[in-house]
Amino acid sequence: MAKTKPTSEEIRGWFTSLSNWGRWGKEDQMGTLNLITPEKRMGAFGLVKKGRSVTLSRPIVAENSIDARVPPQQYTIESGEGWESTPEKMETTNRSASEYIGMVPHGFVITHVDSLSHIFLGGQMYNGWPAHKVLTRGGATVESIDLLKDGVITRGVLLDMPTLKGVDYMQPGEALYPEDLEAAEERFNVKVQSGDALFIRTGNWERRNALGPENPHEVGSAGMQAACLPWIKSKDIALLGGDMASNVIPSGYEDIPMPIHQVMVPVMGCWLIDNCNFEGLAAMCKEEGRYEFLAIITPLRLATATGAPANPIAVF
Amino acid sequence: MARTLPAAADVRQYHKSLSNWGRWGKEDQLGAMNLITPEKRLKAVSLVKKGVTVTMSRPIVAEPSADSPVPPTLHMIESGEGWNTTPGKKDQATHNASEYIGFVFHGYIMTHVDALSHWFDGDKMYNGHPADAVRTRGGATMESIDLLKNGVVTRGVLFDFPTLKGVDYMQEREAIFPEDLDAAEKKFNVKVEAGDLLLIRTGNWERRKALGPRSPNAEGGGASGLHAACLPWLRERDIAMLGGDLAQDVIPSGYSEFSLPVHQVILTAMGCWILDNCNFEDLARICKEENRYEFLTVVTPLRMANGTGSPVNPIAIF
Repeated sequence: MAKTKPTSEEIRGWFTSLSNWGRWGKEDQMGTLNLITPEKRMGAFGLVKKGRSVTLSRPIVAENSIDARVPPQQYTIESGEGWESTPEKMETTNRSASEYIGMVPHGFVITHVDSLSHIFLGGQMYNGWPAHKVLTRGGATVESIDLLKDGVITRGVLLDMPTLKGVDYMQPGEALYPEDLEAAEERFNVKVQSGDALFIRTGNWERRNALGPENPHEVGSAGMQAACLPWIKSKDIALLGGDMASNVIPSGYEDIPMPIHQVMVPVMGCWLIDNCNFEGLAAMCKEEGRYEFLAIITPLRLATATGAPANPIAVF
Repeated sequence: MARTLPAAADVRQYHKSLSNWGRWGKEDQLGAMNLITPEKRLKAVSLVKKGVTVTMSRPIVAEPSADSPVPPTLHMIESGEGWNTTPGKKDQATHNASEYIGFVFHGYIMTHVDALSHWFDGDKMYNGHPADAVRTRGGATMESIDLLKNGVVTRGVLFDFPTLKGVDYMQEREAIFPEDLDAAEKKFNVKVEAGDLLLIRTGNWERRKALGPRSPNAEGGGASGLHAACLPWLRERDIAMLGGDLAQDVIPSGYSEFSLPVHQVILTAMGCWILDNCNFEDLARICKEENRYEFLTVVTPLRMANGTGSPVNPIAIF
């Protein structure tokens, strides 16, 4: 089947035709998370048969790399060194180690959730909220990550594209089309449903482990072509997770560098998880012979933030 | 009932008598997490009947306060202000907002997990690993928070002491004793079992909301929490993790040589992980509504590769 790239004009049309604005009321800030009902959660719990859990997060390492333009920081306040040789230390009643940690969660290295306040379409966020509600002093006063305080618990589905393609990882710039997503559903015997957390594995993390970090703006990264957007909308997922930015980079559109991000967040109101690590999950799906599981994501309760680092887990 | 409090020498002795060193092998770094088996997880999942979930985390607010001398940082890198009116911004293809966040999560304000590398007994951590494995440059090379990367999924039990005592919140310096733990089990009709996450509500968070923040170390101040006398009880129940709505320990501890004996013995001797500064406001309400004090808990610390802990948003599911 021919894989068709939409024109830039068609994508602009999706800003309207794939919109969820007003669908859950004009004050809504939750977007597609409205699709996760208690019944949906109960269905997801029904998938837990073995009591095994696996992380979908990359480790957070305080190191410079070409894909970590603003690397995470870890500053030791008190370490464990010198305790035995420092008499005052041995006598203190508070024998502890601690550190300061700092990070810019957005970008290409830290596993994080994008709030709907992260991306604007023109001067607006999802559902028409004005961009200036994200204050320079005070942060995201609407559509903040703290809306997810009780956690996201739903059915997770993994579409494991490297396994489908018989490769270790996809190549930078290699794009996924709706036909590939459908082929994955068939191959892994799973149907994406309303309210799901859909995880798309391209192998970007395994590629980084094998070949070292690369700058996605320079060499590109594997991900979805914009053509996948109507397919995703038709499935009505609650959350999309990728092992980098979900988008193929470069996007192929000079005026729309991240069409998946730009349509899913402000237009569809769908929350994203970027920079996951699906290495352990893919292995467990293979072992268990199933690609659906319970997914749990509990972002930090940053009161007014455009996203948060997270350690999502899958439970089988 | 006449109450006999342990002397400092008794607490000192707990380091040995309550020890789990060697119990899971001499290389072990997971400690009481070993008690959470796949069977334990499945049993916990079977407590989910309604699909209702609730946070146990406080919000993270970038504001200094008496109990937050090193407040969390939220520094905008790009906000949403001025997009409509700034020609250069308006024309840009990617419109997004982002921030830098930073924190010292240990302390009395942020909900966080203590890794076993957070606390030392003399110059040793749990299981005899040397304190200097927590490096000034490089962090916790042993017993790091990243050992919990796959999340903690187990049964949670809430002991709601303000409800037991018929108050909104306990008082500063008010201690909980083993008899109180027994009374809570009876009142809430729940038995603490091996591998549980035991959550002790004193109402410290609600007290802060009602009366404003105050440092637990302030002159004449303190915090409600567990007395060191509870340690043998906790060891006997074999919990995997202990959570509280401040520092677990009653402050002051009553022992000049141990500032936080519950922290110290639980982490270093028992190898039991700790969840500090929780917010049990919503959890207590739901437990009351549902009339049950056991539920599924999920704790997924950030994967700080060499961290002595991590900020976290633990949840309970009914």
